[in-house]
Parts: sequence; C-alpha cells; structure tokens
Amino acid sequence: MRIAVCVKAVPSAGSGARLDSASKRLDRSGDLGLSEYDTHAVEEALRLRGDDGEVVVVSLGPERAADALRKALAMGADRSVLVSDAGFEGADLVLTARALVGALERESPELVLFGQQSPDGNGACLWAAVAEKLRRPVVSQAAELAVEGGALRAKRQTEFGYETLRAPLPAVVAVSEAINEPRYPSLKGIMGAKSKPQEVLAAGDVGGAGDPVTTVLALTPPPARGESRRIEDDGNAAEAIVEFLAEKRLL
Amino acid sequence: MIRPADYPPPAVDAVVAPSDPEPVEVDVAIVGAGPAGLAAAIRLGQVAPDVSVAVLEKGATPGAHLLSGAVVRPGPLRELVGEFPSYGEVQGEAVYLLTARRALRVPTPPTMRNEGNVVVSLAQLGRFLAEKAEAGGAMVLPETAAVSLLIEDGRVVGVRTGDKGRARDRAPGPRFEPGSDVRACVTILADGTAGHLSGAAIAHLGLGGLNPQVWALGVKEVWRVAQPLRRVVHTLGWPLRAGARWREFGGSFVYPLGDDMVSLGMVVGLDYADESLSVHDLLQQLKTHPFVRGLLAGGERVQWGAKTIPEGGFLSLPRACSAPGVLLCGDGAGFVNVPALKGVHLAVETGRLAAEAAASGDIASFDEALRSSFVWDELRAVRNMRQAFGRGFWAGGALASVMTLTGGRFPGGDRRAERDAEQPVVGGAPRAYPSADGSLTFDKLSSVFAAGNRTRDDQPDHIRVARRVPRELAEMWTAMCPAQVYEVGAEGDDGHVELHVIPSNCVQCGAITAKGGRLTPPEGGAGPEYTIT
Repeated sequence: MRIAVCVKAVPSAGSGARLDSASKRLDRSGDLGLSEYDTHAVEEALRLRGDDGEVVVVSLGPERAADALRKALAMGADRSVLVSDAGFEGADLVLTARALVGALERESPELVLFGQQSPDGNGACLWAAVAEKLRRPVVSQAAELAVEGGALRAKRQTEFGYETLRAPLPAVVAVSEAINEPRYPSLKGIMGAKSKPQEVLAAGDVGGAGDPVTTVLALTPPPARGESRRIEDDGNAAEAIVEFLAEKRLL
Repeated sequence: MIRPADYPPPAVDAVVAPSDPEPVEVDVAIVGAGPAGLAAAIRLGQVAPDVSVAVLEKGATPGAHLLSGAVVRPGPLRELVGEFPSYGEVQGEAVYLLTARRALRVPTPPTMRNEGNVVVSLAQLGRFLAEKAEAGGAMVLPETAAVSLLIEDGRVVGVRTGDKGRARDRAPGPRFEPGSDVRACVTILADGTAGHLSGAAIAHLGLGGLNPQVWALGVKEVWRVAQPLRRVVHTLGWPLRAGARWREFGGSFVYPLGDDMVSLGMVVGLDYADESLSVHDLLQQLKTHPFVRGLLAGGERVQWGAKTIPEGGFLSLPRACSAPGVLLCGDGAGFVNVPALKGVHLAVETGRLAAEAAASGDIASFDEALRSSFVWDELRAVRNMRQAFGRGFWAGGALASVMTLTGGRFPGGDRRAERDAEQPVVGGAPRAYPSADGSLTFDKLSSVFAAGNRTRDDQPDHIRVARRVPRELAEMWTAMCPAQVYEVGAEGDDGHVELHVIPSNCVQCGAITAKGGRLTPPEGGAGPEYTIT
C-alpha cells in the first residue's frame, strides 16, 4: 500500500519564533523541525506500510524544510516530496491544500495521513480541505487505525466517547496524539535518511500557485497574565495555596 | 572543612569493549559538532575526500548545544572556509571596573585587545560549519550522543552511541531504540568543555597533564535592544567579592550582535568558595547596575544559556593529545587562551590539525603538529605571563585584575594544582540577589525555558552526583546550578541531607563535573536548543 503523510516543518522550540507585525506572519527564519503532531502520522504510516508498501512524506514549505523532512526519512519513510516555491509564500489554508493536492495527485496514494493540527498555525482543518479537493472520505481524531479489504477502520476520539468508523480507500485520515508513540530514529536510520530520494517540486509541477483566499487583518499578542500571586515556599507553601484557592472559592 | 571532592559521584564507566554484531563502520568518527569537530570534518573533506566521516552530535541540531561570547580571532576559520557568518568586526572596546553604583573605565590590557576580531553567535556558526562539512561529504548525525569509548587491545576503535527510549528507572520503554557501536580507524574527540569522552580518554589512557583541568562557569543572555551597542564591553569587580578568601575571579562581557541585539554574560571561576554563589543570579544582579541597565534600556530578553569554560590553560593540557586510535582537540582537551578570553580559533586550528594527522595515517604526528603550530606558542606565552600578574583582586593591581577577568589563574605547577572540587565550601555570608521581575531579571526556571530546553521528563538521570551530602554542599550545588537541577531535601540522622536531582532541567553546562560530580550525555536530542548564543 502506498501511504502519503502530509507534514509541516515548524519553528523549533528554541527558535524564539515571533509574530512579525509587518508581514502579519509568523517569523520562520530560525530552525525548523518536524511537527510533533506529524510524527504520530509518520509512525502510523510506517506501522501500516506492510512489506511491499511505501511511505511518502509530502510537505509545503521553504527549501530549508528539507532538513525537517529528513527526520521522517530517518524514522523510516521511503522518500519525501517538498513543494517549495515563492508563489506559495504566505499560503493560507486553501492555497496550502491546493499545493498538497497537486503533489498528492502525482502520487495517487491509497491512504493520506495527517497530524491533527500544526503547533504554529493550529488550524486543525487542512486535512478536511485536502479531502474535499480530492473528493475522498475523511476521518479525524483517529486514535486507532486499521486497513482491511480495501477499507479502513478507525476509532475516533470524541469528547463523549469513542466512535468506530469504516470508510472505503482511498481516504484521508488525521490521527490524534493518542494513536501511538512515535519511534526514535535509529543511528542507521539517521545515516540512511541522507541517501533517500528527496524531491522538490515547483508551483508549476502541482498545477500552479495563486493568491490566498483569506487575509490576516490584525495580529494581537495574548493579553498579559492577570492578577497572580507568587507563593515562596518557606515550609508553608501548601497551606498558603489551599488558603488562596479557598479564598477564590475554588475549593 | 567540607570539600566537594570528598563526596565523589558513583563511578562512571565510559569505556567498553565493542559488542555490537552489526556496528556502523566509518573511517573517522568525530564526537561533537562544535567548532573543533566540524573543522576536522571540513578539513577531512578537503584533504581526504574518499575518507568516510561521521560527526556525532548529542544536540537536536548542530549548534543546539553551542554557546560562547563570542569575539573570535578569524584567521583559522577564514583559512578553512573563507567567509563565515558574523556580526562584523569589533568597532571599539572598553573595560570597566564596577562598584555597586559606578563604572570606572580602565585601560584594556594587551592580551584582551580585539582589533580585527569578529563577533559571532557560536550557535549560528555551528549550523553554518555543519552545512559546510556535509557539503564536503561528512555525515553530520544530530540527536546522537556518544556515551562510551570502544577500546580493544588498548586501542580506541570507535564509540558507542546512547540508547533512546529508556524510562526513568533505565528500563526499556515501549519505543526503546538501542544505541550502536560506531567503529572507526580514527576517533576524534571534540566533545567540548567538560567533555564526557575526552574526560574518559584522559583518565583511562593516562593522558593527564601537569595540572588537573579547572573551569569557569559562564551564564549569558541575548537581548533585543533599542539602542545599538557599538563596542565590545568587559567589566570586572562588582558583584563579585574582592576578599581573597572568596576566590571570586571573573567578570562580565557585553557584545553587540548587529544593531538590535547584544549578548551579555557573567563568567566566574569554579574554584570559588561561597556556598551561595550563583552565576545566574550574579548575571541578574549585574543587569541592575545603572551602567548595564542603560545598555539594555527598552530591550527584551531573547535567549538564555550556560556553559563552562576550561581555564587550566597550557599546564592542564593532556600530556599527549594522541593515543592509539584517538585524537583530542578543542575545549575537550582544554585549548583555551584565558587571558585573551578566546578558544574558538584554537578549537578550529586543533580540529584542522587533527584531521590532517588522521588523513596522514600517522596520528601520532598530531602532537608534533600541535607543538609547531601557533597554538602552542600562544598558550605558552600566556603561561609565562602569569608571573607578571599576582592573584587577588586589589592586591594584584588593576592590570592583574583585568588579566584574571574570567578567573584566569595562569596555572603554574607550583602555584596551583588543585581541582575546583578540592576548594573548601565557605558558608555563612549569603548574598542578596535581586528577585526576578520577569522583564529585567529572571529566575532559573523561566531561563531554562528561554534556552529552548525540551528534555523528556522521564528519561534516565544523566547526572552522577553524591545524593547524601552535608547541607553546605547541597546548598552550594543548588546555588551553583544555573538550571535549577538540584534541590535540598530532608535531613537524615547522620546530619546529611538528601540531594534531589531534576535532570530534565539540565542545559549541559558541565559545572557539576568541575565541582565534584559528573555530567554525562543525556538521551540524544535532549538538552537546550540554542539558536543565537
């Protein structure tokens, strides 16, 4: 089975990424790493791949994103496809979906996996837009996934309990973090990643870029933290905390 | 009298026999993607393009664990790679002696002059050099900690990489990934200050020099500022104490990173005595000085980090930097010019020479090459200068004080041959550090966050340290650690206290190795993620 995993290179924890008020975008000039959400999708793809299957990592991003994709290759994915073109700079949800769909159509995978969301954009709906454009069924929040006889069976995590669904392949699935524990790349995996095929596509290869449909109107930093009290532990911190909670009628 | 050395850590066995039936095999294995290791990898690509080279780096990415001032002598780097990313040449410089309220300009001593030197971010330089090394054919392997030396018949035959996915109790977890043996014809150890395998090689192969290594601890912050700083600034004096019994040798630096950022830090020799000394909090205190506060006006902190600096100098170098199968270079071997406050150019040069020795097939030629290089002359000259400058703060005079800026002890065999851990702990004079206001001054935990640290909470403890110790010692370690790794626990019947260790806070500075414990590498990929330090 050919499985495509759509992933995103996001600013690393230490990169101190900031919102740039001039461009109204997140400043992504620092280190980029593979989104943690997406490592769950890569892991699930590797688990479902089977002996004669293939896992292709697909992404839209700057050329520097190739390093982040290499992490997925080090985990065991077979190759990567990166759509990188100035025409997609500042792409919104709709434009990003168009780029990914262009790349996915070249691959015609039986299963497309996503992480539930990205830690920077936090849209949590790209998978839906891609499924819509591909005209394929979509399952989100998958906490368990199995493929049997040309169909998938997914257990969805919802606020009220679990829901088990069946959908025909090809399909799009967004996995939840509960689905698995992503493996560590082995040393041999990290070494081997460098020689795996890493394709870079331009806008023309995926049906052209275009203009974003949405416009960012304003960026506002989160409100400053409200009233807080700092309790220094002089041996009575526990009592002081209980007293504080009681005072606020939280106990 | 309490000395950290009297409470040794549990033994660390960092030497093993090869055991992996399917080892990774390369011609040259380099431990550490810092300026020394990457210079070695780049040079190997230039002189021996057919030689297979692997650079093992414990950080999440090359540069993630690199931190320095840094004002760099550009010569060796330019010779190796041509142009490199920097914040330009030093435009001017000044040294100030601080009192609690005032800043007195003093002459810049000759060893500290920075004309023609350039300001860099070592974390950024590491990323650049890693790209160069890969372009030259080396494999740079991040998230890979080298935890043991492989020794067979008295010869170093490679290293073993660390396991991943073990639980706190070291039991393999659900995603356990065992480490590998990396077998190599030549292993170049470039694992930096307080380097785990450099230390193991020096101890196991009997390579120790005349003096033991000693260290200073540096804590630094990068600030985005409103007013550009046009010069390189060093300070000494306050908030360190002048009294000889405190043995507080050090100072601060403020360097411009372009027009809108500065890098500032505090460096103190780890032979200090005061149990309440905290370099992190001294840096916070320094920022409250009117002079320093003025430089930061209207700014905000961008990043924070900490790292030790080997300060033993010439007499603490290993007696040989080559042994069968292995070469030592950079900070791990102690190549730092303390009075000049410089080590990056020496790391690059010793890394380059190690590569040439490895490529020549006669690795013992490395020691001869070191002796005939500028490195040897430069460090020897520093050693000979020590007679001119006495120790102590006032007694030594202003010039001598400047010369000892980062705790440089000019270690002569007769005058100083003690480990930092052998200095007695002196209590009873606690310092009053400013409390954290979250804008100018910060506590340790928020600082660890600003280092980008993302160590998994339940990974095995990588810090070896005695766990039942006198209260004074536990207090000293607690104050010393810039990352709040240690906490003083309950007192037992024997009058000793329990030392609690929170290894996930650790930013790999190495101070505990100097002061009586032993830092070992964490799981690969853990620790800070410095980007601009």
